[in-house]
Amino acid sequence: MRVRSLATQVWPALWSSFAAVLLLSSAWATTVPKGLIELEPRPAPALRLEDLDGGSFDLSQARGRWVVVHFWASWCGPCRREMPTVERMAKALVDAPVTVVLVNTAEDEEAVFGFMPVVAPDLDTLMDYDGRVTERWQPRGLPSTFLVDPAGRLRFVALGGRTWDSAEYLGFLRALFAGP
Amino acid sequence: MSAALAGTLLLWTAAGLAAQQASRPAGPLQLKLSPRTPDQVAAFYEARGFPAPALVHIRAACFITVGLRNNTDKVVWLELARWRVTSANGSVQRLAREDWERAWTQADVEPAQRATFGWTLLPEARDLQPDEPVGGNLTLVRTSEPLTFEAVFKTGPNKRGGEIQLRYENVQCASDP
Repeated sequence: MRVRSLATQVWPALWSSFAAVLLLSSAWATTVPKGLIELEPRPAPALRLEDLDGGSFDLSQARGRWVVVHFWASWCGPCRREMPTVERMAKALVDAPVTVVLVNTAEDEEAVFGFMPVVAPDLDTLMDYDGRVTERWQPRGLPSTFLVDPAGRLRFVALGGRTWDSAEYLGFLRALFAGP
Repeated sequence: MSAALAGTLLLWTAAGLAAQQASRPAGPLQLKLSPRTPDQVAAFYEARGFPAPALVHIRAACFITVGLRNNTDKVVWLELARWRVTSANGSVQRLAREDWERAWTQADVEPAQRATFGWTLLPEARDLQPDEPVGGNLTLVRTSEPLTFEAVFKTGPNKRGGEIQLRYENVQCASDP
């Protein structure tokens, strides 16, 4: 009797606390991290480019998955600092429904070959040789990163270089890519 | 307090910053001005495939790299039209994007180089979100006179949140040794 009474009194309280912790951790995971701005959803500009190996990527063929589009250039100091965190983020989210796409802005193979193997050896990049695709996306500067949802809409933009492999960012991205 | 004063969040004056670099580490806006020598900028752009006639234009101008960060919790507006650069001889002309585009047309500069140059310039006008940095070159007609920079920044989503004013004195275009 006493046991039942205790259980009656204690378990609801424990469950409430547990639920509150779950709710809080869920809210933390989905809170937009500092430096990431939520956009009014709108169709992403076209993005169809080739990489250095002759492979190609067409954003319109990536429906159904999130796409991280990251613009960069080798001369840009913040790009150099940020790129390794993009690489670690891509590895950490390898099982998530997301494609990480890098776009080099207006440089040639020589500049990219001198950069990628040193800074982010496990990433490939698309080449926007004349910079016109980048111009169409109107990034706020370089580096610049957009999150495109599975319907092909721009949903978030990062302000400057960010630490993509931080717990805050990875938690948010995992929750976002997992969907509601 | 007058309306004008109430609308001004801050007015800072930095005098005697004749050295190669002028900066303010704290405050609502973190601003750093770094004058570049003609050799520095020419080497940078030459390495990115700019043709010799373009480098002549680049060497003739005064390049000052600007680093800016919004340390406030509100939107700050970078608008170069609200910046004034003066010397003892009066206003110093800023070289805007359209000035460079004319030069690139004369010098047959390729689209890739034009794009790169554009991304290395400080944006003409842009909002800066809280904690957001922005950087790039400000280009001026070269002068040997000491320069005074006066920059006014509107704040708030509708530019109605008051102004931040920054003033730098005795900044100089850098020369080759």
